[in-house]
Amino acid sequence: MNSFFKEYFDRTVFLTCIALVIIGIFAIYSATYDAHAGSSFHKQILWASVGFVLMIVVTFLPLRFLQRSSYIAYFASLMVLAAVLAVGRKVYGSQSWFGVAGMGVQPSEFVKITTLLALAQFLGNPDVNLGRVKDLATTFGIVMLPVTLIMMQPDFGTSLTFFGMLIPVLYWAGASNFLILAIVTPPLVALSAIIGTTAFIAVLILVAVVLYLARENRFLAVTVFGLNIVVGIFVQMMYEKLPLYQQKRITTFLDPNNDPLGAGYNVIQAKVAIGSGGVFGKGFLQGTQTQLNFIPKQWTDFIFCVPGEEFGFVGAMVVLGLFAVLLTRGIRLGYSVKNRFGSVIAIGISALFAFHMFVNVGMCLGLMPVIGIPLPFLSYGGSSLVSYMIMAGLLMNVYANRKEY
Amino acid sequence: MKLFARHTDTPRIPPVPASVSRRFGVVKGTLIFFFIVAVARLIQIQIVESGRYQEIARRQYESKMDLPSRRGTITDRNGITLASNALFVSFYADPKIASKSAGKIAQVFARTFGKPESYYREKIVAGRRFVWLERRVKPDLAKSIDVKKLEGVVQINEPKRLYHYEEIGGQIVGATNFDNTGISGAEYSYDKQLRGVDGWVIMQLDGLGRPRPSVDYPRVEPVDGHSIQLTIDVGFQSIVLEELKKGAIRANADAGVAIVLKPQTGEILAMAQYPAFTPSAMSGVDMQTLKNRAVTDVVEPGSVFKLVTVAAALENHLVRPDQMFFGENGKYRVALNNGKFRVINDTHESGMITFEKAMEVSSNIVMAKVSDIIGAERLYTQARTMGFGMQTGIELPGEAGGNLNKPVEWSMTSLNSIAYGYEVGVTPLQIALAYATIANGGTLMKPYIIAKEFSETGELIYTAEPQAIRRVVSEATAATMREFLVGVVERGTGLVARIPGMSIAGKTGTSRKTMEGEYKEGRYNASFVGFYPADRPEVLCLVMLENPKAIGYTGGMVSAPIFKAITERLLNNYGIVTQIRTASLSPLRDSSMVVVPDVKNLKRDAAAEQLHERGIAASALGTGDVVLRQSPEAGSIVRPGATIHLFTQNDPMVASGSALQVPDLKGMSVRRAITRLASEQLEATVKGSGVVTAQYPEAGAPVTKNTKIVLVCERVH
Repeated sequence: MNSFFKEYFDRTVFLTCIALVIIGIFAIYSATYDAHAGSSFHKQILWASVGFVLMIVVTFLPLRFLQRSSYIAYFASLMVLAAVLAVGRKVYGSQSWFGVAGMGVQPSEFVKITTLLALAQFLGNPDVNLGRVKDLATTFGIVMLPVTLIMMQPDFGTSLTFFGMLIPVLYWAGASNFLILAIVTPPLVALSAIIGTTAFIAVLILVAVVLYLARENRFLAVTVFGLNIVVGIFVQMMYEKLPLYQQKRITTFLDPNNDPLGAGYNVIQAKVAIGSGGVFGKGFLQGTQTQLNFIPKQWTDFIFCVPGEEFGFVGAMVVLGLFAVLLTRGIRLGYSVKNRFGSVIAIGISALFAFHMFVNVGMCLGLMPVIGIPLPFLSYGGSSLVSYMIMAGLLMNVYANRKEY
Repeated sequence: MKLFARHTDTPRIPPVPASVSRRFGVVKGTLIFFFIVAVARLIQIQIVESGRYQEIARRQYESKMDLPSRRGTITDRNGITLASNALFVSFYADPKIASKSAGKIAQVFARTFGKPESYYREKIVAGRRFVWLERRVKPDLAKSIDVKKLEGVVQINEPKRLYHYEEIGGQIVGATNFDNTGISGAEYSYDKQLRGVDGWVIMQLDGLGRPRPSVDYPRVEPVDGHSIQLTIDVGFQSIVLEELKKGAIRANADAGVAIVLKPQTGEILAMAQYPAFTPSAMSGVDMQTLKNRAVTDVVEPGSVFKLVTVAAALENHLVRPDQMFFGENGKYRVALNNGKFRVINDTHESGMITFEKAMEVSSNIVMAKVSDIIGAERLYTQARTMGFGMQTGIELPGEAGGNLNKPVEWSMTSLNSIAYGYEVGVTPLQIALAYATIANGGTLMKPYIIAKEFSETGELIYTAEPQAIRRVVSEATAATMREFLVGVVERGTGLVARIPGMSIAGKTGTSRKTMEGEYKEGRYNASFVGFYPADRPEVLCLVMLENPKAIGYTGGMVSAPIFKAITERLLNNYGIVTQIRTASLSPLRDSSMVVVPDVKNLKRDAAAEQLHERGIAASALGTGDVVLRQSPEAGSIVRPGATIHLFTQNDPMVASGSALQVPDLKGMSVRRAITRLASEQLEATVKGSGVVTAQYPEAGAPVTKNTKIVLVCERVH
C-alpha cells in the first residue's frame, strides 16, 4: 500500500494544495467575520469538499481516457459557454454564471481545463510541428474559440488567463524563440507606447537586445522589430485620438494610483493592509483593515491581503512558498514525464497557477493593473476553487502516469 | 518526504526537441524572476515601509468622536422644570456610498417621515461626503429605520432641548440653536455653565465610515452642564404673560413688556413680553421677539420718571409735600435764553395745587417748576443714583444702559424735560427698580433672575443673595413718596389700577415715541408701574405697551388695567401676601440645606444639642424646661447656622394653648388690617371697603397658620 502511494500518489502537490485551501478557508473566515457575507465561509468548506473528491477522482483517471475524451470535453464545454451567453445570469456586469440548484457555477473556469486538455491532445501528437502555419493556426484556434466566447460575456480577466497558459505551452511544445517574441513583444511595446515616449523607446531597446540574444536569422529579427515599431506608433496615435476620459480610464487601469478614490481605492487599501501587517502581522482576526472592511469584496480577489495583514511578511511568504513548491513540482513534472500529453498538461497547469498567482498577488501589491482574477485555492468562489482542485488532480494524474508513453 | 524529488529519467522518445533542458531553464528562470519581484515588493512594503502603512491604516480606522455633554436643566424658583433635554436621533448619509442605493434610502425615509422621495434623493445625489437626511427626530419614529440595511446611512444620537413651558418661559429662558448652544435669554447668558464639557472617544471607523468604539483607547467622559434655578415663578409668569397678551391685543399695541419683581430683593418673579416667543418654533422669529425687551429697549419714559424729580426734591428738602404750586391752567410758557419760548402742556389743567397733588395728576408744569428749584446737578445725581444711565447687571443678554447725559451736555430745555421724563432714555427694568427703591424703603437692589446653580451631580454651588447697591433716598423720603404714589392710584391718574381692599402705590406714564429723532403724533409708550401692599410692599409690577392704538393711549387707560388684572389674579391665586411663597426659594436639590428636627417635648438642653448637631442654633424663649413649640416647625428646611426659636412653658403665647391668635382688627383701615394679619401668618378676605367694622373669627380666637379671616368693612366719614 505504502509503495503504491509512493508510486502513484504525488504527495507534494496534494499537501501543498490542501495547505493552500486551508489557509484560504481561514482567510475567508477572517475577511467575512462580522461582515454581511458571513455564510461564505461555510460555502467555501462545502466547495472544498466537492473539489477534494473531484481531485482524487481525476488523479486516478486512466491516461488514455483523458486523451480520448479531451476533444469531446472541449467541444462540450464550448457549447456550455455558448449556452451561458444565451441563458446565464449577470454577476458584476458579466454574463458568466449558471444557476445550478441555487448555487452559481461559472463555466469559464472549467473551460480552462478542457482547453488545456485539447491543447495537450493536439500538441501531444509528435507529428505536430509549430513551425508549420497550419499546426500553429490550429493551436491558436483551440484557444481563440473559448476566448472569443468569454470575451463576449464580457470577461477580460479570464480571457487573459488563456494567453497566460498558451504562451508557456507554445514555448514548451517547441515554438521558436522568434515566434514567442513575435507574440509577447508587441503587447508590451503597445503598453509602453501608451505610458510615454521614454518608456516606448526603452522597451524597444530591450526588445532589440532580446532579439539579438535570441540569435534568430537577421531577416526575421528585423521583421519582428519593425512590427513592434509599427504597433507602438499605431497604438500611440490611436491613444491620442481617444477622448480624454477614455485616456484616463486606460492610464488608471495601468496605474491605479492615479485614481485613489475610484479604481485605485482597492489597490491602495490592499497595500495599506499588507504593509501595515509588518513582519509578523497583527494576529488572526486582528487585522484592522480586514476586520473593518476597508477592502471591498476582499474575500474574492483580494484574499491575499488577509494573510498579508494578519500574519505579516511571514504569512505572505508561507503562501508564496507553498506556490513556489507547487510550481517547481509542476514544471519538473513537465520536464520529466515520459509522454508529451502529460508534459503539456503539467506545464499548462503550472502556467495557469503561476499566471493567476502572480497577477493576483501583483495586483494586491500594487505591481499589476486590477484584473479580476482569483488567487488559486485561496479566493472565495466555488467554481474557481473546484476547477483549481481538478487542475491539481490533473497534475497528480500526470505524476501517476509519468512512466507511460 | 521528498518534496523536491527529481525525475530525471531521460525520455526514450524525446517528447520535445533536444533543446528541452534549455527551455526548462528558461521557464524556471522566468518563475524565479517573478518570485524575486514579488518577494522584493513584500520586503519593501511589509518591512521597509511598514511604519508608513501602519500610520495610514491608523489614520483610516481611528477617528475622534465627541461625546456630547448633557445640557443642564433650567427650573423656576419652585423647581419646576422649564428646559430639559431629550435624546433624539439624527441620520446622515455618505453620498459616495449611499448614492448606489439612493432610491431605496429615499423610499424608506419618505415612508417614515412623510416627505417626498425626491427630497431625500436630491440630498443624496447632490451631496459630496456628508449630508444630513433628518435631524432630531423622535427615537420611536427612528426605530422603523434599519440603518444596517441602508448602505451609507449613519444614525447618531443627539440631545435636543425641550422647553416644557414654551412661550411662558419665553424670552427669559431663551433658546438654543441646532448645535445646542444658547442664543438668547438665560440659555445664552449662562451657556458656559449649562453646556458642560464634551467628552471624546477614539472610534474605529470601518470601510464604510461607520464608527465603532474601541476598547483600546482612552475615553474621556463628558461632564454634564450645571443646572440653574431661576427666580421666576412659572405660576406668576403665566398669569403675567396671559394678562399682558390680553391687554396688548385689546389696546392694539405693537408690543408690550411686563415685569414682576420683589422690591426687597430685586428678584425677578416674572418677566413677560408681547409678542411672545416660543422656543421650539424658532424659525421665522425675528430678533425683536427674541430679545428681552425689558432690558434691551431704551424708551423715553414720560411721567413715570417724575419719581426721580420728586425724590430729588424731597430728599434734598427743597420742596414740602404740601407746598403749593401754580399749575398755569395747563399751559406754561417758558422763556428760553435765546429769547424764544417753549410751551409745556398738562393734560389735566390745574390751578394752585400741592406738590403731592401735582404728582397725583401728573403735572408736567409743576415738575418743570420743581426741577428749576432742584437744579441740574442734583436732578442728574438723583437719576444716576436711582440706577438710570447704566446697566443693572441682570443676567440677561444684550442689556442696554439707557441714556442719561451729564448736565454739561444738557440743552436749555433738558432740565425741565427730564423732570417729566423726556430727553432721557431708560429700560423698563430700570424704571421698575427705581420704583422698587421707594417700595423697599430707599435701597437700590441689583436685579437677578438666577437664584441657584447646581453642579452636574446636583450639588448646590451658588445661591444668589440679594445685593443692595446703594441707598437712594432715606426711609422717610421713601415713606412720603409711597403716600404720593398711593394718592396717584386712589385719586389720580392711576385710578383704574385701584383694587378695593388693597392699597396700591403706582404711577402712570405716557410718552410720545421718537421715530428717527422726531416725535411722531399718535405713537406712544404707555406704562404703569405699581407695588402693593403700599405700606409693606411685597410685589412690584410694571407694564409698558408700545404704540397702543385702541381704547386709549395713556398708561392710565391701557397699562393700568393690565396691572390691575395681573394683581387681582396674583392675589386670588397666591393670597394677599406673597411673602410665604416667595420668601425662600425651593430647597430642591439643595444639599447644603438642613431639615429642622422635631424637638418638641424635649428638655431645653437636649433640644438645643440636637439642633447643634445639625448646625442649627437654638434660642430659647420663656423660662420653662420643656420645649412646647418650635419655630420654624419640624420638617422645615433652613440654611445651616439658622436660629430656631424654642418656646417653653412660661412663654405667654404658649401658655394660651394655641400657636396663633386672631388680632383685634376693628377700626383699622383695610390696608393696615391685611398687613397685620400677614405679620401673623394669617390671610384676609375683605368684604366691602373702608374701615374694618367686624371680623370673623373674633379677636383672640385660636387659629392655625394661613387661616382666612373675614373682614367686614364700611366707609366711615
